[in-house]
Amino acid sequence: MNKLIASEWERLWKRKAIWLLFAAIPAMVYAAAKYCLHQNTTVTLDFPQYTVMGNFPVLGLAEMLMTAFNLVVLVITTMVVTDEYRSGQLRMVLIRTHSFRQIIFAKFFVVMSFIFLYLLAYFIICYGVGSMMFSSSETYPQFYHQSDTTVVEGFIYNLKFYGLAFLTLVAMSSVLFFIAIISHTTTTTLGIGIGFLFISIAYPTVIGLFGQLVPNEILLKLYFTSLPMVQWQGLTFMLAESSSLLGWILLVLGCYIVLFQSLMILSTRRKNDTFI
Amino acid sequence: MKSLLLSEYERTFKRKKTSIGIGIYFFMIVLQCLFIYLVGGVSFYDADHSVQLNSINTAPFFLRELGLLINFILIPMFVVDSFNGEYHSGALRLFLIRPQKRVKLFLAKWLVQASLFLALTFLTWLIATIFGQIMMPHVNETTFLNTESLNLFEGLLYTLKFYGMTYVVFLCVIGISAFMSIVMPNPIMAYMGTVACLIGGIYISDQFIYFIIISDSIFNVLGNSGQYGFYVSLLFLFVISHIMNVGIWTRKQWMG
Repeated sequence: MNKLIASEWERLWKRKAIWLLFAAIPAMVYAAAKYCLHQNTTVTLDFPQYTVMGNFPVLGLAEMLMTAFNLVVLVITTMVVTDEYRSGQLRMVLIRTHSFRQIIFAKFFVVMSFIFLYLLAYFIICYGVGSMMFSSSETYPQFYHQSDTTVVEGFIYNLKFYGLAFLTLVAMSSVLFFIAIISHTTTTTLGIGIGFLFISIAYPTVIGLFGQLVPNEILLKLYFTSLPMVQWQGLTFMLAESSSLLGWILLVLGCYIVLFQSLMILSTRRKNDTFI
Repeated sequence: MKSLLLSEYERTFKRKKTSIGIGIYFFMIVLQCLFIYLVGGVSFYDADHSVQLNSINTAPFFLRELGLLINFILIPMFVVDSFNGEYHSGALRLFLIRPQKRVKLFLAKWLVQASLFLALTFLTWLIATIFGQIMMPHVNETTFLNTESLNLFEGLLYTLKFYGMTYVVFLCVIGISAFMSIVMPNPIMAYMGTVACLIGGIYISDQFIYFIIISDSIFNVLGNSGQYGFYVSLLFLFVISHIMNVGIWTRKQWMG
């Protein structure tokens, strides 16, 4: 299994697209910084939405996590699963004594490692760009916290934020992996994947329209059953001082992961069409 | 040419995803009807103008959400499969052995995609108009964003014009998607390149917002005068992308 993971890891980095995605990080951070600078003209210093160097890693990720990061996961998943599986490249690996299921889970592990590195790089570059483009203040207000945070406390907060962001991406990857395994062509994977993202973004909005009918607490819980919404706003709710939603969102993420990992196990059972 | 077209149609519909995709699209139209009915026929021209729907003005509001589905899922899927997927998988070899002009091949592919989305656009208009006439409160005349009062016939003309402009935007997306399919090495890159273009356009100019919120932009163009940026950018995109597509397609090195 270790050798299998090592081989998958090697073949992942053989792809030009992976290097391109890594090279795109500075551009992404720059785009996020431009957006935050634009936001700074509309809010004042005493709002947590106001970007300073200390909270730029969080504010710069919030917009990107829901869009760019999900698309990055989608592209990689499509490349390493659907493309290799359906184009016959996988046969070379299947010659060895590994089952299709083992290979898929090795791939999942490798993609998760890649996403972890990707987030880490984003985090470091965010601090770099943040120190250049934003003012640094000793203390600044934090989302759903009574008192201001210092830079060190903020750093711990940012680390937690990125950890939870990684967890949401694990859940998202589980969904997309399952889609990638059952799709017959790469375009189908991309189409269904983007469709899943759209629907996940759309139905909370629809629920919001019927907001008068159900009490607020249930509404919020329903709202945060959608992965992109968790990525966009749920993370700050989870890290609030007195968070009622932390357990609920963790439960939702756990359900996504367990459900789709089980579906992956089911869909990779021994089939006769592996060699067709 | 006729047989090329026929073969192209046949292969397009031999792919299961074409019929499934169109099926899902019609299912979405039904959901949209249900949604509009449930919220009591309230929709939006843009973020600050809400509007009460009636029997004449319902049709354009269907494209608020359905436009996204077409621009980001259906067009990239079908066009990339037709222009890149077949080449990538080697299916194109079988009819490259015939003495066909490359331009004709391109034209056949383009015509099939364009006609497919013309049919979808027209059917959406038809269903939306019928739904509006039956389910929405009956009125004799209505207004759209910044227009004077229109009777039934003028209202129908307005919605047809609206759908016509939407179709031109779809054609531009087909152009962009085909361009990506021709220059990118594999379907994944082609699809993602298309999506990146549609989203990245906003960073270049606010004008390109019509790829994402299609209905708001067209209401704005039809309601306010002097919106030349919309027409110019669309025309420019359409012409440039198609000239480049034909140029690269015919000069591309197909064999080895």
